[in-house]
Amino acid sequence: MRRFAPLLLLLAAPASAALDISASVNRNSVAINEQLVLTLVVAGDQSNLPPPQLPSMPRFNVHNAGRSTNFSFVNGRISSSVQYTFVLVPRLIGNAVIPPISVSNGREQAQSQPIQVTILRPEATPPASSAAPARAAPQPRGSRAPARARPGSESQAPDMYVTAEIDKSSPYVNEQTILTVRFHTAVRLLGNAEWAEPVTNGMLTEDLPPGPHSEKTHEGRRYMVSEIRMALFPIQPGKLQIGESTIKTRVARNRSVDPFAADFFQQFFSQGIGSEVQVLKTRPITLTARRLPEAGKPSGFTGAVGKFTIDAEADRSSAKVGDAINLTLRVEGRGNLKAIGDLELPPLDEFRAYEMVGSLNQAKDADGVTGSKVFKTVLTPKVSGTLTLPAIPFSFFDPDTGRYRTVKTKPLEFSVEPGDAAAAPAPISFGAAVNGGGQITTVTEDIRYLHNQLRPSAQTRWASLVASAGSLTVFPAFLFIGSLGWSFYRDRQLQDPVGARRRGAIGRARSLAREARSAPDPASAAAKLSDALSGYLGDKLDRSASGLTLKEAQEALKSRNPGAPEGHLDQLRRVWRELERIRFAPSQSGDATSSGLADCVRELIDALEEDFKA
Amino acid sequence: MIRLACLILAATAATAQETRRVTPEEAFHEAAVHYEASRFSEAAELYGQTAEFVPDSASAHYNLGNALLRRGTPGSLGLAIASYSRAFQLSPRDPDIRHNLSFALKRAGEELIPAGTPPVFWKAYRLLSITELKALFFLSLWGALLLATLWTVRVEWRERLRSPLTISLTLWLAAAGWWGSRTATGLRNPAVVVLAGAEVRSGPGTAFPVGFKVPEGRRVSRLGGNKNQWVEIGVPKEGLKGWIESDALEPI
Repeated sequence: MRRFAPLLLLLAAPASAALDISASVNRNSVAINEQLVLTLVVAGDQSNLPPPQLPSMPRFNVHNAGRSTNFSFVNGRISSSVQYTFVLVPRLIGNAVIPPISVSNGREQAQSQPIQVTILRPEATPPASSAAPARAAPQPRGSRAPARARPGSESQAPDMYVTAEIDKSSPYVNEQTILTVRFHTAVRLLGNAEWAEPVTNGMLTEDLPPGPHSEKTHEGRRYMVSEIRMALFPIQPGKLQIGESTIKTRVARNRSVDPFAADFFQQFFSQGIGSEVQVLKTRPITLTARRLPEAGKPSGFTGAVGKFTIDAEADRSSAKVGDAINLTLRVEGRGNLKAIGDLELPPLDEFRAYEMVGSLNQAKDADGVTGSKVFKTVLTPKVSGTLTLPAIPFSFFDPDTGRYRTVKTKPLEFSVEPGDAAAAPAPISFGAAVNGGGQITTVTEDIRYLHNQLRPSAQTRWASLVASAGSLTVFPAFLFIGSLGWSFYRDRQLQDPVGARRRGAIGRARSLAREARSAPDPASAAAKLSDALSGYLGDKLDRSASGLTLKEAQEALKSRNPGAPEGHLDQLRRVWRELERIRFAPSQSGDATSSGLADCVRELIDALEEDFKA
Repeated sequence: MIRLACLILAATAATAQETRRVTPEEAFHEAAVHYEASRFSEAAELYGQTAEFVPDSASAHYNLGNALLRRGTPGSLGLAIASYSRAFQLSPRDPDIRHNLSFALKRAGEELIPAGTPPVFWKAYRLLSITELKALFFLSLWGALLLATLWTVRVEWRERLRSPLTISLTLWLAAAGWWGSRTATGLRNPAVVVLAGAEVRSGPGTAFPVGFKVPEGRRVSRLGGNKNQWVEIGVPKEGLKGWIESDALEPI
């Protein structure tokens, strides 16, 4: 029961407290040659909990014996606790107080209650004295005799040595293996020994409580033996090495007083007793981790190795349809509890099961890690009657037998009554209510279920396509700008028809001249060119082209542009008459050609255009 | 498209870690199988890969949010809110997405619809996604430009074109105003805090004192500052600014 005291403290830690610390000891009175185990539990709602600050305890030698961490996740929130174990070795007889121990995370501070401890005289019969030889051996605890230097001592046995051993040399993957480091000392220690954990690649480790102090005779010398234990869990098959463990301590040494030494006075007042740091190391150990067999592996196996039991418990055996039933599944046993995966409920037609949340509760003893993993969920009956929750299996590998085992919970029976008229989930009806109507009662609020259509709808795809094609706006924009230009041109034409006719004259004349160039004979070409010339002059002078005579044209040109060169008017007269001659007397066309005539007219029109622009 | 048609997605089965060639649809449905078997971590991984390859799928983001919320590990709530927010941006009229986003925000101590805002107005204002508003803006603009072109060119059609042109111009102006308003009033470069009690400091580094703490799931705005894995954020509701480690943020 005492073993579970820290566990109970863990469970009793208030969930709402952000930071909390509690301290307990395994006994309130202790003999001077015994030891006391101090357990500190730091709990909080953060993942990185700060370590406690140990106050000065002059009546004890304090040894750190490891720590363990527990996590639980509920509704996305983490709560954790760290358990620190210290071994206190009494130094003075009398009443001692373990003062309040504080912990702080920078924002909050928590403090434990002080603990009264009575340190008694040692019992008359010292432990293990019956097996010890008669030779007086130095007592590390309480003995004030200085350790003697080995050279010149009466025995060749060392003052102190350390050993390491494992209880299994070829464990299975995830099987618990205990590493025991024994520290033997036959001399008085000054201060606390410091232990450095070995490097354990390929293994998970858990600190275990220290073993009991004992005495041992080795090569005729008595030693006090302290044990440090660790649980190792190989996480991969093959050869794995446990590195060397190191113990560093300070021991007393006799020294002769040298009158010429620089620290003569210090040596003199310390009565020739000095200290020396001793570092002891163990040899590395190699173990061979075996792969778990594939044969007989159950489908629901998630990696648990050890010995486990499972039980199920409901907070009620009778309920109404829609009521919440709290179901607790507890996997308990010895092994690496952290390797236990989530439990799965079998398919339930008569219940609705909600999300399962798990929490880990670990305890440690000299034989390794033990404890439980608790899974909690809520079931709501869908129908009334006597409902049975079937047995829930849990599979693990038993390393002692080398086989997989599946344990099951007992089936649970529930007596379910129909729900209240107001509370029962009434069927949803359409149209008029045939049963007087019913109300839907929310049992619990939860997220809605998955969607099963991956691709977005056609509407969404079209929207994405259009939204990404914004640059295409330039096309309708240019179209609109073009239409504005065209509209401006058109309006200008409508508002000034004479000007429009004048501006278009050269284009039309040139077009007719191009056509005349390909005329079959000079007469036809002359007819077209005559039309082009009279049309050009008619457009420019705002006259009717058909009734325009050479004389009228010349007069109009003179009156419009008095500074026009006379040569242009002579050229007009010559071309005009030549065209009429060829047009009306084709036989007198001579060697005139269509292209030649067209070039003449084109040249004349260009010259006149220059005059009009001037 | 080839990449979408033939993806290499790592199917992270709990027991066998082998790489398989699956399409996003197969990964999507395989994730649903994991989800139904309460293997939420595996489901979240596959939904995450699906959402990465089909980023315009609101369902992929929505289902990813569900798997993350069910997984319940530290940081999952913030990541779930980020996923739901992405889904909501893509499909604001989907009632399931709105419900689950509201549910997750309540867990984080926030409300989807700000207090004092009539839900009808809030829903109407967010009836269309930003993408749909952009599409409406461009469609109405194109329509207005084409109709205006016809109006200019064909004088005899002007009477018939008057109503359609007025409608398209009104739509264009409304879409522009709506889009601009949504962009101006929403969080700029939004992100979600994915670390419980994330510390926000007055400068980019641990040498600066902690100014305030932001709970997991709170939506914040990234202000642009980015130095040595520290990001400058703003919390508009409280009017606070500060620097936070980039690992504590999940961009939406």
